Amino acid sequence: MNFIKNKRGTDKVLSVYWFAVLFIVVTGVVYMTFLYYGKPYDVRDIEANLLLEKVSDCLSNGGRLSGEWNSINSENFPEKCSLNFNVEDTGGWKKDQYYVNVKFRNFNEDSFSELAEFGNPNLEIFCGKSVVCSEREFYTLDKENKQYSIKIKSVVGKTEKNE
Amino acid sequence: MNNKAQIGETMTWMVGTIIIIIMLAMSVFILSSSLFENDRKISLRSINSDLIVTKSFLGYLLTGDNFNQLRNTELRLVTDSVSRSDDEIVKKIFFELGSNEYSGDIWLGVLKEGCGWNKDTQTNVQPSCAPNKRKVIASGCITGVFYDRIKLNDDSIAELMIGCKK
Repeated sequence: MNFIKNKRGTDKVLSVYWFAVLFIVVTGVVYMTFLYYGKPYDVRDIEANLLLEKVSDCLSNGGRLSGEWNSINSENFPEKCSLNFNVEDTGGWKKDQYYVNVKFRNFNEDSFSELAEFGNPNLEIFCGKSVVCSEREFYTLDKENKQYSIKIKSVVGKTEKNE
Repeated sequence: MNNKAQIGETMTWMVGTIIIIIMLAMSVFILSSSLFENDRKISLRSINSDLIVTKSFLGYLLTGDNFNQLRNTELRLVTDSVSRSDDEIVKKIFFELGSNEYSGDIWLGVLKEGCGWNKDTQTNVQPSCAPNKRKVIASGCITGVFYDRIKLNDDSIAELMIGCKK
């Protein structure tokens, strides 16, 4: 009789214990899922490269520089290349989360000349640290078959969202 | 005897609980560390295209007589070791211009539509129009070779292969 009583008591204690362990495990799994999936994906590298490709498309098409490329400057750059640096309303961001810089040189020379820039130039200082930068150079010809090398640098900030 | 059995069972549960808590804590610690940081970063390296290289390639085809030369020979291999004067421009375009993605050999060719290259070894790349001999090479740097195929106006195909840095 005593033995049966004790057995029931033990079962009660163990079932409380069992629920406690279940609760701990479920909480742990939920927390881990949140830790892994709760952070946003960092797509700034893609953003920077897409921006760079868009600018390169604006300057050169089919292997040749567009007819107007020489008339592009920092003033008309966003308009000529249809750039819009509006960003989502996060952390007081304005239009200061992107930067693009375009340089060119004669293919056989070493020194670059600045063609245009647009966006927040202060971001460039943080390349390799908190912001994502992409820099590519491509070979192209103008209408007179002069060889050029165009270097484009694009920077995406958005540090607050991707820390 | 009965008490000893109860103590034994309780001890098993306690030790089990402690092990579960330790394992959970370790999992949480690993997840919150920077081990999985790269999983959250998506880069263009995983996407099989490189518009910038394509632009340079088109520029190269338009330069001088390059297109006709490539069309006549159907295949051109430029390696790091070969230093023909007219290959210098190829190396400069694809290796030196900005991107540090590529290295090794460069294969350039203009083929008739429906033809392709058989790449059996690093140095043996043969043009082939026989469909059963055509070896499909994936583009992008995932396979270690960047592969670009551009359809030109005269229905020929310009192809480019560059070794990727690992």
